[in-house]
Amino acid sequence: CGLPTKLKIEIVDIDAADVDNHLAAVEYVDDIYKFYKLTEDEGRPCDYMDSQPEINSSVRAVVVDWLIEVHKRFELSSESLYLTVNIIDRFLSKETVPRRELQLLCIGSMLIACKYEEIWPPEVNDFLTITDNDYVRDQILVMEKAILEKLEWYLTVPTAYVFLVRYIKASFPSDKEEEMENM
Amino acid sequence: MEKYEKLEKVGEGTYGKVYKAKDKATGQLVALKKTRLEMDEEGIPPTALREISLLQMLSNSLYIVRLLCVEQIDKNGKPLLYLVFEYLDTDLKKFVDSHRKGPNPRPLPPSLIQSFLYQLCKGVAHCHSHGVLHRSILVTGPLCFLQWDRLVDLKPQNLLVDKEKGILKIADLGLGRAFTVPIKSYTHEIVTLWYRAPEVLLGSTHYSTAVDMWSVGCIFAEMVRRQALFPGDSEFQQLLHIFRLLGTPTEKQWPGVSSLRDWHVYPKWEPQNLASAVPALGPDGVDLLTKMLQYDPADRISAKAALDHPYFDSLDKSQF
Repeated sequence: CGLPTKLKIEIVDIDAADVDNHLAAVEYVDDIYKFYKLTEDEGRPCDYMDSQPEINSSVRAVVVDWLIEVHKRFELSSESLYLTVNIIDRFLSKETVPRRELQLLCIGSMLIACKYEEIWPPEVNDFLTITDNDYVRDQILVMEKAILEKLEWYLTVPTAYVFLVRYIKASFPSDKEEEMENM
Repeated sequence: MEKYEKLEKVGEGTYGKVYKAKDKATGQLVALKKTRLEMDEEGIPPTALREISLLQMLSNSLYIVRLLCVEQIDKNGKPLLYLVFEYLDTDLKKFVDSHRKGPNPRPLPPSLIQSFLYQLCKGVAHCHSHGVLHRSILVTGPLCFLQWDRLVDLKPQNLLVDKEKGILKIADLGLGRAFTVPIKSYTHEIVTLWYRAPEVLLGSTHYSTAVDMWSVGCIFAEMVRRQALFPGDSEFQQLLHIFRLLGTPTEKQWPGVSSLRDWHVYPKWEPQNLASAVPALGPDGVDLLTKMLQYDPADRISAKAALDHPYFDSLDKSQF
């Protein structure tokens, strides 16, 4: 290949230490990441800020901060948080949403992400409670349906999380990995 | 849904009925899987959500059943979810049964077993290389909940077969099915233990793609024998079935086995000759089966490696 020789020799096999660890799925790790790279674009939102009259990047920042809080309170996995944000962004790439409905979109997205990722997803009731009963159950369920239809049920997306995990593995000694993921 | 004409009910899934139906315009046969949503205060069931999303991704493999479309409809105010699948005429359980009982009992042709197993390994390798694999098992308190999240629930009932063309496909990615231990308390669903890997039965807190390969091994043996290899009716009996044939596992064979949560002191059986359990199988087949039924998950052959095993040397792989 066209790589300069200098670069070639410095590539370290970061999976070498895991060969005997069946949980690391070493045999498949290259295939899996090839697949993630291949589908990365399909699962990526576009820059929708100009097409959203009532939403801008600071509003989005506030929303994400709130989601991080909810994520901590419900003790959810990192996967759920990243998927929630991915779902919101992809929905906003396709549909104009008034600011007053943004929180409903967030709850609907988190409900879906949790059902996909969590062993014990929070219940609809939990989401009603954290929003001080601003919404009723039916609104959340209608929103859930609307999101799934808009995204054509496409939830198996490589979020930034799967790439981060891999980069962290490549950059740190293995005993520090967990610390980094939680940063 | 007016597009389809329902022909007959062919099964009951976890969430609703499955119908054989015909596309009125094209005449194409399809399987309609109906999920009722009206009783569910929690909205779309997590299993349906995962099954649809994962199938959409995996459906481009010939060895995974094709999901044609998803439709949400309201029938007299009742919300229904329909999954439309390609139709295959039978499943591997019925196919093997028809060779054991009925008017004309006979073994499955060895070349068909070889071909089915190859297609099954292809399908499993496809799932595994798309990251459809292991998750942690959550264990809490006296009631233990297992989660087969993102794992293919491999058993003959979930493998669809086209008899004429000799095609086998993985269906019903029995995903995210949370069930309680003891399983028997879950009365409305019979959970098959026969294909479950020993590390799962012994309460290992983590599992990997290797659990699927154990199932593949059991299915391989079942095609040869025309009956299940380890037909246990409780988790304990299931382990005893395995130990009686393969020997009680030792620390030397499987480091860490005696510290698994559900390990007890079991009778010490010596391993039997596996070939005697599958007398119709040649030495290459027995070797592959042995590699699929290794106790230590780290020693078990992967689907990808299995495809290159000498057992498949005589198979015309160009057709796949």
